[in-house]
Formats: sequence, C-alpha cells, structure tokens
Amino acid sequence: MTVELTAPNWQAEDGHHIDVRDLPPPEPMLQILALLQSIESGEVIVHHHREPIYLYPELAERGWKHEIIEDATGSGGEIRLRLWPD
Amino acid sequence: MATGATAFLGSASERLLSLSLPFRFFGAAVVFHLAAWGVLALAAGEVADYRGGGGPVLAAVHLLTLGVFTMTAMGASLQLLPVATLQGFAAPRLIGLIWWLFSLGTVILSAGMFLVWHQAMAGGGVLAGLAILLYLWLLLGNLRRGGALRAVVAHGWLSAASLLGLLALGLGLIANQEHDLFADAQRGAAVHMLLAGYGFMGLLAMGFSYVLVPMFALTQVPPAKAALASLGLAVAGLGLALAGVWSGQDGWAAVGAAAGLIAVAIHLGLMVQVLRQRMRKRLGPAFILIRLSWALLPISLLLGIAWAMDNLPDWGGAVFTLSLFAWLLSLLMAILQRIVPFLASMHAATAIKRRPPTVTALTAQVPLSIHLYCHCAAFVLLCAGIIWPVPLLVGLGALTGAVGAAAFAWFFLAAVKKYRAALEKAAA
Repeated sequence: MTVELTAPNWQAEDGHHIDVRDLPPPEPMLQILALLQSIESGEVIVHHHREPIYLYPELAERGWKHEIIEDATGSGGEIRLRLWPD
Repeated sequence: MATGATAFLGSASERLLSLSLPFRFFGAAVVFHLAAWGVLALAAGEVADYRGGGGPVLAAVHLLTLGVFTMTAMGASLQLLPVATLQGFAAPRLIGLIWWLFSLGTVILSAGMFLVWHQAMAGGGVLAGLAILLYLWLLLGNLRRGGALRAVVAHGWLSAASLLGLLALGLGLIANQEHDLFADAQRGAAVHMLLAGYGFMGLLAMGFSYVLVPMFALTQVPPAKAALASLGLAVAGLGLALAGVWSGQDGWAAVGAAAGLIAVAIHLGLMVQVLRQRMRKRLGPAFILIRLSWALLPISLLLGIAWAMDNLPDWGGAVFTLSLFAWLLSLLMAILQRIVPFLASMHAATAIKRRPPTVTALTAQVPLSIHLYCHCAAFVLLCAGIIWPVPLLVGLGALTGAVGAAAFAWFFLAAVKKYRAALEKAAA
C-alpha cells in the first residue's frame, strides 16, 4: 500500500471509525480504502460530510457492502456510513 | 431542491445526474466516433493533400472534434465537475436540451461540410454554438462557486475561455465562406484548430487528469502549485503560438510551442509521480491508451515546432494535425472506457443493496482489446499513408479505425445491457 492512512481513525465497540470530513476529493476515498486494506475484516463506520458515491464501485469490487446509518447533511451535519465485508 | 450550501453537497441525489444524461453524451460520442472514421475512409484520397476548405475531410475532423471530443468532455464534466468542486448541478432538463441541440448541430454542420453546403454549415454551427453557450453557462456557474481542487478549477476557467474564442472563430470561418471577413482564412483556421486542440480540449484534459488519474489509479492528487505552474506556462505558450500563427510570425509560434513543451513536461512529471504512489496495482488497458496519449502530446508539440520553423516536408502540417488528434482521441477513449462502467456501477450501487454489479463485471474486455489494437494500427497506417503518400494506406487506416470504433460501441452497449439486466434482476 502506498497511500498512508493519515485520517483520524479509532476503534470503538461498534467497529473501526474513520473521520474524513475535512479532506478534499479523492482523499476521503483513498483514506477509507487504505483503512479497509489495513483491517481486512470487521465493521467500519465512516464519518463524512457528503455521501461518498464514488466509493461505492470500489467497495463492490472489494466485496464490501455499505449502508447509511445516519444522514444529517440536510441540516449541515455529517453522514455516517457502515461498511462490512460481504 | 436543497437550498443551503451544505445541504447542496450532501446527498447523492443532488450531485448525481440520472445515468441516462451522461450516457446520452457518451453514446452520441460512440456513434460520432464510428461516423468520423467512416467519413475519413470515404475521403482517403484527399487526406494527404488537404489544405483546408469544405468537403469530407473537414466533415470527418468536426465529427471527431465536436462529436467525440466535445461531446465526451460535456458528458464527463457535467457529471464529474460537481464532485471535484464539491458543488452541484441541478439542471437536468437544460442538460437534456444541450444534448439535443449539440447532437443536431453536429450532424447538420458535418453534413454541410461534407456537401460543401454553406447554409447547412451556418445552421448547424449556430445550433452547436447555442448548445456550447448553454454548456458554458452551466460550467462557469459551477466553476464560479470555486471548490477544493484549485488546479482543476483554474484549468476549467481557461478551457472555457478557449471554447468561447474558438466558437466565435469557428462561426466567423463559416461566415467567411460567403462574406470575406478574414484577410487569411487559412491562418484563422489554424488558430481555430490550436484553440480547440490545445486550448479548450488540451487544458480541460490536463485539468481533469489531475482528478481522474488519481481516481482511476487510486492515488493522491498532485500538488496544486506545480499544476498551476504548468498551466501558467501552457497558457503563455498557447497565447504566443496563437499570436504567432495569426500574425505570420512563425518564430513566436515555435517559442510558444516550446513553452508548451515545458508545461507538458511538468504535467507529465506530476502524472508519473502520482502513479508511482498508486494503490491500484493493475491499471488495465485504459492506461495503455493514457500512456500513449502522454507520449503523443509532446510529440505533437515537437512536430508543431518543426512545422513552424519550416523544418518539415509537405506532409508536416497533416502529420502534426494527426498527432494532435491521436493524443486527444487516445486520452478520451481511455477515459470513456473507465468512466462508463464506473458510473454504471456507482448508479447500480445506489439502487441495488444486494451485490451491485462491479466495474469489472460491467467491462467487456474483448471489444476493448480489439479497439486498442485497431486504434493504434489506424494511426500508424494514416501516418504512413500521409507521409508516402498512399491513399490506399489512408483508407485502410480509416477502415481499421472504424472497426475499432465498432468494437468500442460493442463495449458501450454491453455495459448498458449488463447495467439494465442488474437493475431488472434486483427489481424482480
């Protein structure tokens, strides 16, 4: 892997969290994929400021599924995405 | 429609056009690609000696530049720019209208050029011009709101300015056929071609490469400062080259092309650097075309310098033009073959929760391989046919290109068919 995982990420009870809210495109996608490559299993919770639509084909290619668990972008908040291996 | 700026950014539905809209542009580009090679095959005997003016060669050139290059650029930028600039386009009806006007305009203009029918050229030119102005209005609206990727936005502004200039010049050249507007129409046509190739398409291609190549290869965006330095040099070089060609100062044109060469060296250096850091190991056949286009861009500038300095034989102008088209067509075909299955997979993933089709599943490799070999063989044959000159080789080259274009259409239709089948399966 040549992209270094630099986005804030932490382990919690519900999975491994990563916060990519302040990153310009395509950095959020790279950081999320770098995290998936480093953990390879378990659930991941992504904190983002918008729905990462361009990430979805990459997730499908790697056999990961996604689900929006919280969407507060309409009121200026964040979107939370749960990712898990298929 | 969301009203707040943050709300505008958030959900997929507001940043994602209906798939039918970008695919309409890509589908038209696929058809015009086939038509351009077909018309060129009909004009094989005229290519080597072509020095401008109406007829099948001019029609083939515009089927390629408007029908393939501009059509692809419109479809890709209307979908990708909102993501790059973190803004949104919310004008699907206007985008649909742009497609109709531009497709119709391109058909009528090319038919007018083929038949040397000035009224059709004027009518088609006005329709296509209107579509371009509407597209520019949408594009500039997006660029005006700025965004995270400064280099992409700056390239977008200067590309849009070039498009406006080449549109005015193009309409002027059509009018010139009945009313003498230009003292030297051939110089006007050369400026029009340089503005189209290096200005509008070149700057747009370089700008989008700063986001598309990282996206395709999964790597970081290159530093904006270096990309902006390359842009500054490219624009200065282009300005000098245009002034030189317009005023007959060939030395200026050569110095401008040399500045362009330095700009391209910086650009390619950045591309190579980001590719070295990539996360995706297997880049696939699209990157063969992308690397080919990277080789052809400096070659076209070197040929341009040699041509401007009168260091090339009679075939110099035609081979320079060919290298310019080969660079852009290679790059755009590579982008199309990555972006078509990618967008289809992305749309499928937002609609299908259980096992959406992957990019790999939506990509038919056989037609892409056929296209790659035919694309390369076509340009080699055309180049040989122009240099010798042998019209039979030009004709063979154009027919080989047409076979490649048909294979590319097969790839496109297969992606659409597989996408539809996945949606129907999910709905059942």
